[in-house]
Amino acid sequence: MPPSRTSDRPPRTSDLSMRMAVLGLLVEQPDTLGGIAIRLTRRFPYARWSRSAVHNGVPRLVKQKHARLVLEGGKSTQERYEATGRGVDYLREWKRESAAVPRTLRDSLQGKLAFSTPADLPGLIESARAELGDCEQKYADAHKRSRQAAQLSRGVADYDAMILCAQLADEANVWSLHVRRLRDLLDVLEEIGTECPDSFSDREAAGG
Amino acid sequence: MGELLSLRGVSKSFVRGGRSLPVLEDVSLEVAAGEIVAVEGSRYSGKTTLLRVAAGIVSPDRGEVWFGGHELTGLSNVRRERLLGSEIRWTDREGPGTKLKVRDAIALPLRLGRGRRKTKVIAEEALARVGVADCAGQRWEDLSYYEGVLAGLARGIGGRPRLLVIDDLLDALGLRRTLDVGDLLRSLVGELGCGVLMSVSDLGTALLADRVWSLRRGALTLVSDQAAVTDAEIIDFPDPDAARRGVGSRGVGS
Repeated sequence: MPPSRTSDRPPRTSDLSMRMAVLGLLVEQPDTLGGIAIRLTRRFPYARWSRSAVHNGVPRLVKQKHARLVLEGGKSTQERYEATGRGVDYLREWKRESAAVPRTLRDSLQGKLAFSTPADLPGLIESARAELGDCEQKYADAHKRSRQAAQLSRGVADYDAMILCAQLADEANVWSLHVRRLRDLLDVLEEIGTECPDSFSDREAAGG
Repeated sequence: MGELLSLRGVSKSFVRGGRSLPVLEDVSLEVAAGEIVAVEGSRYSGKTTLLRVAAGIVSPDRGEVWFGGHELTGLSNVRRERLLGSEIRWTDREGPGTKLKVRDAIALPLRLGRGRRKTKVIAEEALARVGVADCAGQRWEDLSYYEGVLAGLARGIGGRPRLLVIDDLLDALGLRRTLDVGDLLRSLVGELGCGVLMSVSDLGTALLADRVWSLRRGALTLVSDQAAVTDAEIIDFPDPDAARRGVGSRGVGS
């Protein structure tokens, strides 16, 4: 009996799963586990997938018959994996998935704001500042990568080069939005800190 | 690349209601020929003041502004105005006067030392270079938003300046237009060999710059410097030869 269509349908989520990213890399070209891990870090440097996750994830792709092991030599480091026809179809279906996927907002800072008391304000501000510094650094890295790609692609009119430029520009743009959001939030939090310290004290005294 | 513009320890305050409001505090930055430098900041952060000081329009309270080996703060008003009409060009979102035709609006500030016909030719060439030759006979106020941006760039490059100062012209274009304008601006910089100092309201627009500074509470901090690329930032760029052969090429170098 053939596998049911629904069981092999790509998950509808706004996040890029590690397994889908690995499958994409294997569809591009067969590779070893080490090679996949390196390419994954280069292509999605901020996704923070661990090397061990790659080592666990690839066998799961094999189990789902989206990839297969191609033995080359006796050493495990030389073992290469490649995408199966089913894996290629699975990736294609995921890319064509047009149904809108609602974005989630499960941001820890949002939770900290929701449950904060006046005494938490200094910590909240510190937390937002630290996150801002981190996002600014990531923007700087993405900006450099984006500029590099733009320089390298000058005069190269092919799809791969152009889509890479688009991906990197989008990446920098995403970090710039995070930076803007955190700066705006910090402005508001700092204003609350300077304008309302007395009311905070009153609320605390009243048990509010 | 040689240093073209240098601001050293610049401070500037304005007096409002008897109080001194510091806008720039001990600000230093440099722009070299052939590079695009962006200063990012929220509204009222002092970006325009910084650019006006850099262009020699406003004098700083303290510090020095050097352009092409000359200290702008030490020049007479006449010399500074001449520089602003020739080697330094200012362009912004506001445009030069809404009732003027675009060609005339670009030509007008170029008239110092040039004939009327000559400046109109320069204006038309600049408009053609940025792709809006058709707008030459229109009034500035009738331009679309994007046409206004391009005409603003034409206004900046007319007369082939050594330093182009762009105030808030390129914001809110969206990613595609930002990249398009970035390509255009970079090719203009390559042709003219000029440096660019521009202000932007968000880091998304700053994508097209080589170096990005952030202006907050009067102080500048360096956000990103394209020149300082480390190994960790080397990208996995597709092999163009493989692409031409029709081979999936990305990741080959890994």
